[in-house]
Amino acid sequence: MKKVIRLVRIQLGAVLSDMLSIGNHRNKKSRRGYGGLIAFLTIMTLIAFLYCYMIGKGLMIFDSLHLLPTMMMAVSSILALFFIPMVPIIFASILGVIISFAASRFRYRNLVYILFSIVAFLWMMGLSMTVSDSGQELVNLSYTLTEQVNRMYPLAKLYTKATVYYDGLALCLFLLISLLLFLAYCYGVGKVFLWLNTMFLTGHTGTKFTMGRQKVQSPLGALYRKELRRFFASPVYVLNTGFGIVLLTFGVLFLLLVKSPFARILPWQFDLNTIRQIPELEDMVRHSGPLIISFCVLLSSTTMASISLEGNNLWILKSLPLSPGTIFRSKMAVNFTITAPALIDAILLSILLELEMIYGLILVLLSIVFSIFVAVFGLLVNLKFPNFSWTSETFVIKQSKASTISVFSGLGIMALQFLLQYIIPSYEMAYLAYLIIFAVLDIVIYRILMTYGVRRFQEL
Amino acid sequence: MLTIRNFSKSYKGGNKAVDCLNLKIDSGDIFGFIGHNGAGKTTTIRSVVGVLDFEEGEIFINGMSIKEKPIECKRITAYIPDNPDLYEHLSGIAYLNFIADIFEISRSDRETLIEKYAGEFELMDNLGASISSYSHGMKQKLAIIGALIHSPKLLVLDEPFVGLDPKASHTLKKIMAKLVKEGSAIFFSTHVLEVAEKLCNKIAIIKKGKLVACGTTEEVTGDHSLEDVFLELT
Repeated sequence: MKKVIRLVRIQLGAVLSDMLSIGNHRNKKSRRGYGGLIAFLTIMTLIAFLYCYMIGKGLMIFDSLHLLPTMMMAVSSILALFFIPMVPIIFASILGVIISFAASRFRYRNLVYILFSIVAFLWMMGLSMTVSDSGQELVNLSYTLTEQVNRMYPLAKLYTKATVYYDGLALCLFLLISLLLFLAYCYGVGKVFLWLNTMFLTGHTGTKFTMGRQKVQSPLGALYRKELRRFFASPVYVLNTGFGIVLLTFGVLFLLLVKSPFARILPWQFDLNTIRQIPELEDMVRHSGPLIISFCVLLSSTTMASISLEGNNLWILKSLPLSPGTIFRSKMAVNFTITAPALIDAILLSILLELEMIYGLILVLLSIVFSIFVAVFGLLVNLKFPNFSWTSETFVIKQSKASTISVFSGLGIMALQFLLQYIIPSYEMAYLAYLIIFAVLDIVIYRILMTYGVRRFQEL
Repeated sequence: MLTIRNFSKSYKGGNKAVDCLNLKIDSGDIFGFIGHNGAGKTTTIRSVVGVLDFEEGEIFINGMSIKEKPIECKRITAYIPDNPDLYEHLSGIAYLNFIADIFEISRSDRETLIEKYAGEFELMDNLGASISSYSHGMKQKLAIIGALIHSPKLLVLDEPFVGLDPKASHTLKKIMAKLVKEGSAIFFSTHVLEVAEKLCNKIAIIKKGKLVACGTTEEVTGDHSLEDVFLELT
């Protein structure tokens, strides 16, 4: 037990910095054996517990005010709260292991890992969206959701019984099953951890190189290619900065499918008539189109970490005959590549929803203006707050000052959009004003980047 | 080829790493830069190649100021740091092509030079592998090939022999001698005094940021070994 507590303490810092970066097997080399795994999973449980606590606390207070709980309810709710994340973490961990293992068999393991992760996420989303019967269930949404969760995760049923119906037996079963599964998993994986780690690290082996015809590119082209490879080499980078665009694209493709004649012959479980008959669906998408697009693009800043991610390699760029402007342009070009599907999505949305010409144009222009904004703003923020002393790239991408500012600025921008909609009654005029404001901002920030940004880069 | 004039560099907190340094390296020189750890060698080298910004003094490469014409200076300079941190996500050949693209080297030239140097350093078979799978020595060799690929007029190396196997060290020394014969200049720091004594025609010794000796190897050593002189001066 003492050993476990000591390991928990030692690994706390490491885990916090690379939490959820399942693809980074190298960093987990040291977490061997049963004790190490318990320590690692305990930290993950604690972190998941924090999330549960943040959400669960609010709901508990709400329940307490309305239901005037008994002591039994309060105790069971608080006790169960600690055990909720245990089994989901096991599932997430197994899924991560399967994806990492499958990806390690390929030459481009990072790319395969990213694809598997996206497919797994979309599959889970699709599963959770599956509606079994008719539109009647949509009316009783909470009931449907509860049924869905119970069906997907039977332990949730025990938890509900324990905390809502004060079933002592259900509570004991919930706690016991969660704990036993957690310990059994740790024991089992602890036994095979070394073997698993070896399997991950001994995937594809390279073949003997022979010189063939080499491809020649311009300096900007070479920089762009290098940046793009850097992006796709990091699953954490891709999944954190590219997911908004992936979701948007899948949303538009889904809409395209729903509106196509093929929708009737596909063997899926969605009730298309119900979806189509939701009275304000199209209207809602029409009015919120720019909001949805800007939100997804704002989540897709690759530049906010691109300077920091140079890390110890910064000497290469600084010693090569390259102007900072060229380096900046290559980093922005990668960001444009990642957000480019938003432009196609905007065009498809305009056609699918049969938008008026002016509104469709605003939608398309907004996707362009926002793509430029996230690229220039992210780069400027990262130049102002670089971090080259990282040990895990997850820290730079998810927890650094630059990424935090980038995310919170995005939220501020969304708030501005709501404010403009509130002040200006016409949707078209509000979005037009929004478009002009951000077009001007793009120019101003680009100018700052090419003056202050260049000086700042030279100082780094 | 390289002139360092009244160069000083201070870090945050006022700690002066280099104090009023003056050096002149001509074409054909192999110039050894010697000093204890923290003497200011790496700071000077990083400033010469434009990696580190500086406020006091001037650095000229082929008559051009690194401050005023950085791109022109870097076009004829190659730099190899003491710790070759390269792009781990690239393969060896992708890295060399990247460097060749930046220096706008033609296809035939790059193919010839890569084959030549990768052959000499016995790295050819591994060029298709990811740099992340390379050992320290292999990374060092790749960094050296990347530096040589554009036939630099000024080669700046920070501890180039650390991590290299004896054969690769010998190959590098041969290449250095050949480069200066063709009119290039080499400025490098080292702790291996025997190598400096044998290889360099000029030597400078730096102590706590200040130059304590500078001249031809014979002038600096006199009748003693470089080791004796170095220990006496520092």
